[in-house]
Amino acid sequence: MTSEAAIEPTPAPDYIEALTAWRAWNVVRYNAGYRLASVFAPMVWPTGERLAAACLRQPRLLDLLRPAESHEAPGSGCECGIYGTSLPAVGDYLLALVGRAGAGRVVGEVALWGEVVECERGFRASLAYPHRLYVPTGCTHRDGWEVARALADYGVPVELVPGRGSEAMRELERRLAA
Amino acid sequence: MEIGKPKRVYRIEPAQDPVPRRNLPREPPRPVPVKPLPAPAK
Repeated sequence: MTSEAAIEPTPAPDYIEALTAWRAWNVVRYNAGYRLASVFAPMVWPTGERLAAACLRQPRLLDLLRPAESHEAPGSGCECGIYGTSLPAVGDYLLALVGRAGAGRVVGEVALWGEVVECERGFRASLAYPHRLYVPTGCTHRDGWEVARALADYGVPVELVPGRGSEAMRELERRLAA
Repeated sequence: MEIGKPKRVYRIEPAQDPVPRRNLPREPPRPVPVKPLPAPAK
């Protein structure tokens, strides 16, 4: 006999192709190589497997009065999830300096899927994987080639972009427009 | 990252896995059919 819960229809997906958006990553030392890490969250992106979002929001003062319920990421009423936005918006993150502990900062396209919250200027998703990476040579503390070679572990195209900050972004936009 | 307020929520289930597949066993090379050479003209 089939239980009532078992015959509930699963909601059909709205789309059957991952969307791609832009984001920035820190590059961090990981074992003998380098890995992508989120800029704001203490999260290293695995190679060969998707990254699943979790709500890492720090409790706020208001939460002491009314504790927030735990939820799956991305919560539409929260700020959690794996972020993606437009190319011009990620340029600002190349201008910011990365601590010397990191190997630098890169940008690229990210595939987002699962539950996706579309926001005014970007997306927050439950699942993600890098889609294409660009290593600005002026934004790495290490040799750009060394970083690019290590990031090839993700199995996606990795390109070097000369310059740093806005110079690298202009070169990237020029390359994409060609 | 400042991306503004939520507008809508949807579900994406890709038909093709966005994670590149690695370390797959290589398919053995397929034999290529070869036409026999024409007999030399006498």
